[in-house]
Amino acid sequence: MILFRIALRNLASHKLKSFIVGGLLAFGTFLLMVGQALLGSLDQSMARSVTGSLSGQLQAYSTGAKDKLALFGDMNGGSDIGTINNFKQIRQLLEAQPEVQAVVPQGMDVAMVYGGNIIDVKLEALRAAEKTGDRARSQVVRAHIRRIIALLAQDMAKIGEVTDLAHASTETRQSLADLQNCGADTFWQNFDRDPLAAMEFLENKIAPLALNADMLFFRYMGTDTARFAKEFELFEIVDGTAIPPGQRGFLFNKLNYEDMVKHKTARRLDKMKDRLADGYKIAADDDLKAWIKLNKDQYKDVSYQLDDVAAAQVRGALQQALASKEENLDKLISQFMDMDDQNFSTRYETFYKSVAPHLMLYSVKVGDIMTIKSFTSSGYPTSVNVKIYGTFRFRSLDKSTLAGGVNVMDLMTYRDLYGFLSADKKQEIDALEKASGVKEIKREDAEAELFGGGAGEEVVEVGTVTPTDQAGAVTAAEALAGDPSPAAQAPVGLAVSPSPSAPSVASGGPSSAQSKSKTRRWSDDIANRVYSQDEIDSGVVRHMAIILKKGTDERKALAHLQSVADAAGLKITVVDWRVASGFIGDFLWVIYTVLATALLIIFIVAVIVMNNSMVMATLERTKEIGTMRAIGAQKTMILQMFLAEAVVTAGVFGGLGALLAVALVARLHAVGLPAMNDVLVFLFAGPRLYPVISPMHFLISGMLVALVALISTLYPAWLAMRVTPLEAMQDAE
Amino acid sequence: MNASPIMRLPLTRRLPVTLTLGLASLGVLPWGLMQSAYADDAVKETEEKPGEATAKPWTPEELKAAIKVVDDRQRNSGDYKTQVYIERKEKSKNDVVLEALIYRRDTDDKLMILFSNPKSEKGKGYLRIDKNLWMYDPAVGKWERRTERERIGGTDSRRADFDESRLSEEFDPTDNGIEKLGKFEAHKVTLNVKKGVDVAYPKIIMWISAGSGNTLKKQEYAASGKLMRTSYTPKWAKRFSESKKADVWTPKEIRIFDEVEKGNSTVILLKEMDLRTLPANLFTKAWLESQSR
Repeated sequence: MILFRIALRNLASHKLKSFIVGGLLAFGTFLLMVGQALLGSLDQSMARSVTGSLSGQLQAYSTGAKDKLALFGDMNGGSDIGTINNFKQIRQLLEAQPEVQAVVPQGMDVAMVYGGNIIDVKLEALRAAEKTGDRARSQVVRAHIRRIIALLAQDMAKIGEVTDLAHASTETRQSLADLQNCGADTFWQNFDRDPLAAMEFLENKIAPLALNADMLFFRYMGTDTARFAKEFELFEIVDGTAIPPGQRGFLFNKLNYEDMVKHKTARRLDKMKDRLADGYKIAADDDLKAWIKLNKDQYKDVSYQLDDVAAAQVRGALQQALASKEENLDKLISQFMDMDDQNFSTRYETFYKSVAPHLMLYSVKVGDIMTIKSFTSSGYPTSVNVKIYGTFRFRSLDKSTLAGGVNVMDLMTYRDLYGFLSADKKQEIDALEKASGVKEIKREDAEAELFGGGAGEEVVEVGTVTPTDQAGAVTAAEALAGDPSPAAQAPVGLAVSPSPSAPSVASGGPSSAQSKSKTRRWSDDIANRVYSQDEIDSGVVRHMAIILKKGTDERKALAHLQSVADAAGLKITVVDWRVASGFIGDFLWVIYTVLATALLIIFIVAVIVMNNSMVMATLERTKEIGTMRAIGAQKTMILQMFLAEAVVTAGVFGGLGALLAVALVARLHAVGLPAMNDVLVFLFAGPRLYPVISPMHFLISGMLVALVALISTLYPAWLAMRVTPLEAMQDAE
Repeated sequence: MNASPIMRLPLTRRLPVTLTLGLASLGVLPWGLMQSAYADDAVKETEEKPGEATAKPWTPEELKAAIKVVDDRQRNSGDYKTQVYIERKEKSKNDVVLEALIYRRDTDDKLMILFSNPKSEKGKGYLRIDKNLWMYDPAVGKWERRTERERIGGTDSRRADFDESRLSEEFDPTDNGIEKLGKFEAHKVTLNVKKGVDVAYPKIIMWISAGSGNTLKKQEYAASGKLMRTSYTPKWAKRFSESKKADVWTPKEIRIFDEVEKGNSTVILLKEMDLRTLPANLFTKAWLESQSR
């Protein structure tokens, strides 16, 4: 006890030194505690986001992979993770292990969906109406197309207001003439004489003049959708239904659906509403101002979608909302979109009540068949039709674009799009190469092979032909002959039904009524076919999620499953979610490294400062120490005295730092640390992070601070132990 | 994360479009019907004996005329149809092979490519009408229209790639003298892009046969001076068209070597060319769709 009293006395007698040293220790402890609390909570929330959405606790992929698995992307952008051909065997083996709850097959890819512009969309509708003989529908669509043509003509005419049309490009003048042609009554009066020619004219001459449609890119995960929905705890359906078990289908991630598929004006209004709800003001926020400007400028996105009846209704509603007598709809829309903090709410409501019902609010709706295009792994473009069953979200990650950027597709369709090179296809390509007679020539031998020896420039004179003969169709039919089965035209790897044919969902051929009926059967067969679990598991997959039973130690499970797979010769690499998640997992390590570096610097400084201070104090206390030695104090007591002082310093100031940390973390836990961007929403597993301090954090912090204090005390203590009574006396003299 | 997803696709997965459009950029699709003015020389070409050192360097006027001939061979105004075989080899990847029929009507600038092999590609087609490049896939019965402004299929190809050869308008030629190309003599010509003209490759070196005027070899360079690719057209076919009253010349074989990704190469074979008039309704969506039914 006497040692601690001495230590307290020394701390009090050297206030400046105590303040500096103690301050450093307190700050270090504070940082250590808060850092641990935040990182611990972050690790847990990330685990929830990653494992509950896409990854599972563990992932497995081929040992033949050239790149590392990165579910959320990595800095290298590589995607060659190989393929797994024996998923069924792997699943059976892994699911037999006591710690494994389920194994879910997966594969990520990117697809393209081409959205036609508004005239393309209307022309498709017109083709459909013409094919089915729906005169009433055809007339409505024709009227809408005429309205768009009139609007286009108005816009084109503006060119004449700013420049002399006589000097406009040939292209511009031709476009104006085309618009004038199909805007005239005679064009539409003659429409029924040759609807196909009229529609092709509109498609080729007029549609390109309208607003360009975006090409949409979707990232998707092909999976056993039933197992995915069951095993990933954050997954839940928002709109529509889940894909029926064993069937083909596509589910949009709700956020992706809203961002990519929704009408742009409506989407911007939604985002503005959310941002205003977060406390932002239009008057003081650049993003909100930019969105308003876009909505004002892009009034055509609204007006082109309105037919005559809808245009009249929207005009009336906007005149009323704006208390205006303006007749020009484009101007009315632009004025209406010029919103401020006062009128936003009412105009938002008016938009959804009076305008949105007349718009194609989503370019693809739940229940539609969507055509997805991709490039197969074997190098060919391919397209598939797939039904949109609904939208889903990962709970609490609604606003995260990381989680919201991945859609879900059934595994059979995924395999079609990914186009694994089957043995049959490889054989077919080899046969084509052989039949071509092309000799493989190396780059360095090209000139000698092509222009030397027996080869050389060759000109073959071919007989004269008469221009009156017609070529084309016959040869095309011959070239396309062979296997007439539409199965042969199905995408690579497609498991086709017994009587397949090509589906025609969009334009279809103008004279393809017969085809249409065939294709519909194909579409229905494929769309409604229920694949057995065996069929789903037997095909190729790219990687798989391993869902562990609750309470399982991930590290032990990983080691065990890897050893089980190796022993069975399965050729898979098992990784945990941190590794599998790519840059997201790296992010956590970066934060750890930054915190550890900061703490290391602080504690090194603390050691140096404490050491110097105590050395100085030791020198000042030489007489005191010598006197103590003279009256019988052993060296060990001197050592104990210094150690006690270090412990007291660490205890008092470390404790102070810990108390401050507890107060801060308690406050953060109460209010939550807000996620300032989309990435943080994902990392926080929600809009806020609620950090907590655990007893382990106290223990680690206490040990580290004590260690720092002890290290910095050792040298001064050693100096003090060397002080003899004689030295003390000499010093006095 | 914000990069266009399609640009993250491996190169092989973007190849087919590149190959198809590559045909155009090589001048294969709009390959030329030779003008009658050159027909006499062409006939002589068939009698040329390789290895005879008889050629002399061109005068500036002859050089300009020769480049115009190269352009002229990629311009025509009639109907034609041909079969094409494309084979793309890439290091450590599977070969990509395509067979297609190509139809072209230059009077109104129409073009159609109808794929016939492999089976998975059968019935797919491209149809160009005016500025529109339509794509059709019978597996989904869907047409897609690309406009001039769009990048196509994530490649750098644009509709401009389909334009006719304008070497004489876009480049300044320099004659580098006569060079032996194997056993043939060829005029080596360097083409540098004219100021203010935007082209894919600002510098091209061509080897034009001293005997026939055909382009035998072509090397294209990036603005940095880096050689991007070398192509060879060793074999040509000539036939007389009644409708044109002129000989028609087409390459029979084209070999392209990627100079950036060494080891990657493409072979294009053209055969069964037919100059008879094509049916009037050929260049329509309905006709192309009907071929896959």
